[in-house]
This record gives sequence, structure tokens and C-alpha cells, in this order.
Amino acid sequence: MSNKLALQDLVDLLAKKSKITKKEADSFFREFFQLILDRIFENDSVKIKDFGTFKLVAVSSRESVDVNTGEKIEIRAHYKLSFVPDKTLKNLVNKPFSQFETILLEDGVDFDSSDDADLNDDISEDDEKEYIIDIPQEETVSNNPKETKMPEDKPEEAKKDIEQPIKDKVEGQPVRPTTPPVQYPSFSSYSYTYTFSSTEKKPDSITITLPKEDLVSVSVNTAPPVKGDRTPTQDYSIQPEKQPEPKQVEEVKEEHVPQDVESNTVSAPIKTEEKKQRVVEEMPTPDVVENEIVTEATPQDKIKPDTRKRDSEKQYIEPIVPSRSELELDDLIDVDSEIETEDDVTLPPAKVLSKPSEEKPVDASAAKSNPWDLKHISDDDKIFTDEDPERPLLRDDDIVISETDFLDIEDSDNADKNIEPVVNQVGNNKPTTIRSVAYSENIDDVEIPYHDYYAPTLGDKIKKVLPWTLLGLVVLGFIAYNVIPLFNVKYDYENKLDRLNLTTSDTLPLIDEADDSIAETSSLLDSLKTNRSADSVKVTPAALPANVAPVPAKQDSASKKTHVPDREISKNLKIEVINKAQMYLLKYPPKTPKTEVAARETAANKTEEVKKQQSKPKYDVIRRGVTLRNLSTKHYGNGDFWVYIYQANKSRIQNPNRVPIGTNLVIPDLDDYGVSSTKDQREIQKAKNLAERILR
Amino acid sequence: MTNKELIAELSRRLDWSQNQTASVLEDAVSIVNTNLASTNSINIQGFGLFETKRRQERVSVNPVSKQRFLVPPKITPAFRPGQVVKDKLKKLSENE
Repeated sequence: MSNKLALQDLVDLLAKKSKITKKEADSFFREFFQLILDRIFENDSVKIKDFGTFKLVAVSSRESVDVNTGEKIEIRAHYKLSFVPDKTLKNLVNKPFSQFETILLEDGVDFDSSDDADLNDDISEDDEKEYIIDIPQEETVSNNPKETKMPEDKPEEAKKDIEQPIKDKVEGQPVRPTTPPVQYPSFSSYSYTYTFSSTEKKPDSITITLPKEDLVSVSVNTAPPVKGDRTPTQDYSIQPEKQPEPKQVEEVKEEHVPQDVESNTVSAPIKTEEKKQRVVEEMPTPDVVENEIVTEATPQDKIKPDTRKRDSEKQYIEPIVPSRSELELDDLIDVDSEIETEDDVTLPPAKVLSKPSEEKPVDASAAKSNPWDLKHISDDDKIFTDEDPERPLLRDDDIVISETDFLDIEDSDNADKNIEPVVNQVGNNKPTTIRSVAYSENIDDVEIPYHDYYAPTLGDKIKKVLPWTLLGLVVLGFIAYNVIPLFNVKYDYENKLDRLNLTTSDTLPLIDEADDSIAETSSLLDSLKTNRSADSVKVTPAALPANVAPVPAKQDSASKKTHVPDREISKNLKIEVINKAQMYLLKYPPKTPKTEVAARETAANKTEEVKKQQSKPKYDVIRRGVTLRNLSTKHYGNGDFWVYIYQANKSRIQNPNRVPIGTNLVIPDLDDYGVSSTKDQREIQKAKNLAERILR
Repeated sequence: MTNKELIAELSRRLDWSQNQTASVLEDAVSIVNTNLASTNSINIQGFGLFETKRRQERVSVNPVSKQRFLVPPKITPAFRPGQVVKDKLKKLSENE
């Protein structure tokens, strides 16, 4: 908590954390700060991630007043080294208050309320400290206070207690007066403890606001320790007048028994501890003495045999203690230490402060040593406290006692350390509750700059992610841009490929005169053309070469023009040329055949001419999704005539249902197969029959 | 100078690798931060003092809307330059 660290501490921490030598860490820090300074004096700002930004800020000259002389002075323009902490650092440091939010004050709110709020806040900080103290009392105090106190406080207190009673004895005060003197010593012992505590306490701990519920219980609890102190003192004082005193004490006890019960109910762990200590002190007293005392005391037992017996026993025992006590102090301490261990084990159940059953744990712990003594002591103490005219003081003592408790608690540094985290939590929570109570009625929540830092962090994340996502999108787009055309190209490529295949066959008639496939088709066609009329037969052979003739001429010229001597014409070019040739043929059917035909057959009809046109071989290519039937519908208007296409291309088609893509097909003229009209049902039926046969 | 440049320069001066410098710098910053978070003050000779300050709760008024806001108390990190730095700054301003 608010320690001052020097560079060396940082070096040690860093060396530990980064697992580097201290020398390295030291040089690192030196270079680090030197670098920052260097940069700053170059008027550059230095930004350190998660830490902050150092930069020079120019301060313009201004007028001011000399504080001492009152003269006006001018502060010259100068530079200031400013450090702007990073948001992460800010949030980290402000964590205890991070739950606070800026609140809009409405008009109705007085400034008083805000002042109250300030008070609350101040208190809240105090509260934190209080909590530190409080929590240890209930939870951790039980263990630590003894250890710390026992060696120091107990012996001294015991001595004091013993000394004073001895003085009393020396004075030879009668039985009655003994009680008040007894209390004084107790008081003195109390005050002593108080001072002791104050010295050990930290300044924070002294200022304690008790009203909290936890404290009340604690305060009640604390009373017993004082009693414990008194009891021995009383006992000592009583020593000279053994028999008379027990009676008085017993009577007193009888009167105040109910009160005792109350006090007992509140007994705190501290009580138990101290009682035990007392018990321990008394412990060393030999059993024999007790027995004697018991025998003496027994006759006195009238009302409550058990308690009185115990009391009497105590008192009798105690006389022995004072004599030995001084000698045995050291031994007692040792015994205490042993007992402490026991207490540590047994105490936790005693944490329930407000229940009357608490004494049981004490008894349990004490039972090991001296069960009777414990009870007696507590009883005696209560009696005295109740009887005393100063009782009110005792009740006031509750508060005081609470302070003593605090002393106990704080004595144990370990407890504080353990408690700290808890305290922080409590501190965080408490202020909020207080605040909410104070403002809940009047104030509405307002959007607050405080929460803004969340948004920026989100923004930062987005900032970080955004470029990557953008990059990803761009890459995706790029890929898509390249790949989609690829697909297209692939498609085209296929076509081209097909074309190429075709062209070998197609170009053959054009460039290569001898092509087997063409020859086959032509022979096939010829064989099928049995039906044809003699004229047409005559015509076709003549026409075919005639038709073909012009093309090669053109083709040759074109190809030669383009530069390729032989067949090495680029495939694309071939395709183009073929297409052009076909187009050309379609558009301008060669006249030479016509003229020839006309010359040979003057009676030639236009239908014949059409036939001739149709007769010239058409080519088509199987593409993706194209079937023979499709081709048939395309060229003949009826899918059923695919059989003739098949017939014409039998050599290339192994399976009519599966024509490989890219296969070049000759589309024969239907007339060649005796089909005059594609719509003739008979012809269609014929084609179907043919199909059945083929497919079988 | 950004964090990157700082690391680069530091690694050059220390003759360390950039990775090592970066990790050590991160550790150093986290150490300082945690210490500041636990309200420890860190005094660095010749450089300055890092500390935390508690800012009191206050009422601020929006000058435009005249709304009054209760600004909660907060703890802020603060830096006070050391005497050496101040002197240097003085010289710097005098030279100009």
C-alpha cells in the first residue's frame, strides 16, 4: 500500500519477471528512460504501449504574483514534460472507483446532498479501513492476536495485575473494599492495553466508527479480556482473606447471574483466548491445592453448587498463583504458546459470537487445561463488572474495548495482509451502496464519459480486424475475378478443343484432300442414297465436289495469306476459316453447281435446288448437354430422326446414348434416307423403329 | 516516436533482439502499471516520479446545456518530472 519504489526495486522485479539478470534489467531501464529523455528533448513525443505518452508541451508566458512579496512577475514561456497515461493504465489505476459513474444532477438536488456524497465518499474510504479491521476480527483474528500479543502483552499485563493486587494486599484492605481496588487495577490494565494498542496501531486504525453491527458484537466480546485481567487481580487481593471473600464473590455472582449469562452469550474469540491464558496462568496451580479449596468451599455451596464450587476453587487456587506467578511467568508463556495452538484449532467454532453456546468451545479448549477455572473466571469477571458503580463505563468500554480488539487484530500483520483483498472488495461495494442510497430518489443515471473507454476498446478491436477483413475481401474478389473467367475460358477451351477435333475432320476436305472419316461418310452416304433419283445422284457427286471446290480455294488463299504454308495453320484460324467458309457457302451458294445442274437439267426445280443445298454436308459438334436427339430436333425439327445422324456417323459413335463431348458429326440430309417430310408419321414411326433396333 | 520505434531503438542500444526487447518492455510496463494500480509511487532518479492521485468528486456544469453533473472521484496516474529533467527543460527554453 502506497509504498515508494525506487529504480532498484523495479530492476529487481523486472529481472524476476523477465528472467534476465539484474544487470540487464538495470541497463534496460536506464536505456529506456534515457531514450525517452533523448527523444523528448528532440521535441518528439514518446508513446509507450499500455503505459502512456511523454511529450513536451510549450507553456506560453503568463503573469503571476510572487507568493512571498506580492509583486507581479512574469513566468516566461517554458516547456513542460507532460505524461498522458494510456487508457489501460488509467483504468487499471482507477479500478477501485471504476463502478462510479457520472451522474446528472437535476435541479431539485441541493448542494448539501452532494456534500453528503462527499462525506460518504470520505467515509467510504474510512470504511475500507474499518472493513480491513472488522473482517479480521471475525475471521482471522482468532489465530494471530494471540501469537503476537501473548508473548508481549500477557506477561506484562499479568505482572501489572499481580503487582497491583499485591499492593492491595500490602495495604491490608478488608474484604469489601477489595472489590473497588480490584476494578482499578482492571481499569489500569485496560488502559494499559489501550495505550499499548495505540502505539502499535497504525494511524488509520485508531479512527474507527463503531456503529456498525459487526462492531457491536465485537465490542461486547472484548469486555471479557478486561475481566480476565481483573479476575487474577481479584484473586490475588483476596488471598489474605481466603474464606470471607469467596462468600462475597459468590453472593455477587448470585445476584448478577442473569447478567453474567448475557455477557457470556456475547463472549468473543478474544475472550476465550484471554480466558484461556488466564486459565493457563492458573493452570500451573497444583491440583492438590484445588482439592483442598474445594473441600473448604463445598459448605458454601447453597444456590448454585457447580458455579460456586468453581468460583471457590478458583479463588483458592489463585492465591497460589501470585506467589508462583512471578517465578512461573516464563513457564506460563510457554504454556500459553501450547494452548494457543489448541485455541487455533478450537476457536473457529467460537466465531459465532452472539450465541450463548459459545462458551462451549472455550470450555472444550479450556477443558484440556482446566475447565473449571475458565468458567469461574468468567463468572467472577462478570460479577465484578456488573456490580461496579462504573458499570456504565464498562458499557462505554464496549466501544473502547472494540478499539482494543482492533489493537489485537492489527497487531497481527499477517491478518491485515490476508484481509486486504477482501477489504478491497468490500470497499468497492460499500461506496456504491451508500451512493445508491443517497441518490436513488433524486438522481437519474446519465450517459457517462466513464463508460466510454469500453467503446474505444471495441473500436480498437474493429480497427485491428478491419484491415485484415478488407484484405481478405480483396483477395477473395481477386480470386473470384480470376477464377470465374477461368471457368469461362475452360468452357471455351473445350469448345475450341472440340472444334479442333472437328477441324481435323473439317479441314481435311478443305486442306487435306484425303481424310478417312470423310471418305467413310461419303461412302456411307453413297450407300444410303440408293433411293435417290438418278438426277440427284448425278447431281450430288458433282455438286459435292463443286461445293467443296470453292472453299478450298478460298481456304488455301486465306491460309496462305495468313502465312502458314501447310496444315500448321493455327487451330483458331482453322476454325474461323471453316466457319467463314460455311457462312459463305450458306449465304452465297456456289453458282457453279447450279449452272452445271441447270445446264445438265434444264427442268431442274427449285425444290431440287433446295435439296442440293440441303445435301451439302452439315457438321455439328456434340457439346455439353447436347444429345443426338437434340441435334435432330435442331436440324430436322423432330428428335426422332436422330437415328439418321447416328447412321451417318456410326464410325464415330460407339454408343448413341453416350456420344463423347467434342465429337464432330455429319448431319446428313434426311432426303438421303428417303425421308421427304419430317412431319410424316410414317417416317417418324420408321425412324422410331430404326432407333429401337439401334438401341437394342 | 511510436512503441515500435521505441523498441527498435532500444534493441539497437541494448544490442538485444527486437523480440526480447519488446517482451522485456512489456514486462517493465506491466510491473510499473501494477505498482501504480496498488497506489505505489515509483521514483526514478533523473527521470521523475510516477504516482497516483485521487481526484475528488466534483460537480461539473455543461456550459451549453447548463446541466450539472456529479463527476465521481477517481484515481489517476500522474508523473512529476524530476529535477534533472526540469533543469534540462529550463535550459531548453532558455536557449530558444
